[in-house]
Amino acid sequence: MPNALIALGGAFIVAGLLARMGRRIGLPTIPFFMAAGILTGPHTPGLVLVRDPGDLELFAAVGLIMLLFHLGLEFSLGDLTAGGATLLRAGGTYLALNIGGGLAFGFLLGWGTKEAFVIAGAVGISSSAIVTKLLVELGRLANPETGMILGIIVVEDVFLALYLALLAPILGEAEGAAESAIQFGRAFAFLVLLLGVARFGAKAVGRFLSSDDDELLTILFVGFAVMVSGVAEEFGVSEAIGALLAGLIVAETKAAPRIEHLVLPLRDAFAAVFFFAFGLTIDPGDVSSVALPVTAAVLLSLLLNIVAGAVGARLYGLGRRAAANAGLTLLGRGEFSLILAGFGVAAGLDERIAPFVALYVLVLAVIGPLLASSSDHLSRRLPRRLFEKRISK
Amino acid sequence: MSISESELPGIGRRFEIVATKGVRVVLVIHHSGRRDLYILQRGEDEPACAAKLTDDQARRVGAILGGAYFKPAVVEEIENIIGDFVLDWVTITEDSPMVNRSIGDLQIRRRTGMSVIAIVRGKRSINVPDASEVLNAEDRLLVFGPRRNFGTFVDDVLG
Repeated sequence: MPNALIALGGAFIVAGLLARMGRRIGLPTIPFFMAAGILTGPHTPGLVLVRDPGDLELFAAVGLIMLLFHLGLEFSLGDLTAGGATLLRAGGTYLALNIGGGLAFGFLLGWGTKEAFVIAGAVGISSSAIVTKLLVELGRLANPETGMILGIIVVEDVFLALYLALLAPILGEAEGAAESAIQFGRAFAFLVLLLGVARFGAKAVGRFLSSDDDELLTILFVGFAVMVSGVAEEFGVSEAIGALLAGLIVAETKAAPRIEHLVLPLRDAFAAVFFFAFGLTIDPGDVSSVALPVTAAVLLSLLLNIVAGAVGARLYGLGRRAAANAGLTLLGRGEFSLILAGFGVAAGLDERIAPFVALYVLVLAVIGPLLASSSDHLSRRLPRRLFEKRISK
Repeated sequence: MSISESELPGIGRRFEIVATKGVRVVLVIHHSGRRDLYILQRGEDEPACAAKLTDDQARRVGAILGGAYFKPAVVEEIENIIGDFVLDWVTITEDSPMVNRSIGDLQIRRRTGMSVIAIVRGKRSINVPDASEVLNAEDRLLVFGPRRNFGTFVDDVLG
């Protein structure tokens, strides 16, 4: 058992090197951070950097907080309303198909109701990090469907926030209706309080954080994000929601543009530990037991994404090439799926959830970019008459 | 000419210009400062070619496109050409022979016929600088003088 610093340093190095290898062939980074955790974890032969995932718990928790704090900070209802009704219809269709399909699939698996809700979120919500990076790498920023894809991602981000809030009481272990009502009431009161601060107290928070010095600003906003998350946990709201709302509050302050910039390196470093620590919990021996459900889930997501891409392209009056690109690009799954799986593990759900989501994310990490870059094969198979160019408004 | 502008959430801003013959030029400015330049043939959705530029490269290309380094003689309608005179700004490059020398020392007016009317240095502006003013790299000079001399001046700046 190496000492704690060697374990942490090793985690960063293995995760970084593995992800760099993946990047050379155009694969996303997040699944490789997790794969590094699997490879150097206690369940695989060879190098064992960390025997107990609990050793990295605090770092991983900070990673989760930074991920969601940044998401809250970047949250833009402006981007959502700018897309108008067409965007809401396209994004709504995507979510209805993928979350609905995921939920039905989760119930079909028969692992339980709570499990079904975690699976629905994990297979239903695209990774904004992976999708955005893929668009940049494939050089598709000028394409007509790119605005729609990024718009749908914004809709999905907003949905994720609501879904996380909804999931907390579902996963709670309250016994009896009265206790769960009290828990729910406490959590709800805390959420209302935070939203009130976001709406009316941004100035005060701004004054609290304000500093011309980047060093002091960093220390204060990290303290604020971690503190709000911790208090949220005490109130029975997950720390993830707390971090997200802390981000929403800070987004309203004058220092927001600077913090958006300062938080990035922190998020990148600690989030990598979060994904790595999740990988540590995975026993590759369990993979065989979830291979079949994962295959089915991947095929289902592929199908639903193609349908959602086609519907979106029609709503926007785009051609079949755009439809294929949109569907296959939005297939990227990553941070949100792993966060939801982490929730499932923390709530003590069916043990197959973690290996299921891990394998699902890994499979899509490899086939997603391949499919997206060769989307012309799919577009030639889509019926042309569905996408006759209409006169655009 | 119209430039259509839109937000790419999480990436940056997108600008689209229709060039001659229906060729579309799409420019994406990333939040990171990186610029992507795409050229799309008429009626095509996939770019025919693309280039990634760093912030620094993009600024230089922009200056060249804007005519700050070299101005084609046929461009008569440009606003800053007044009769036989030209009014333009030039940025002193790092390797310019003008760096760390004063205006008087360089004898700019005598040798090139151009007058330096103002200098923009970072956030500071110097109106009608003295001959003793020493030039730095990255200074932006507002210069005025006979059109035929402008080329000599730019050559001097570039070294």
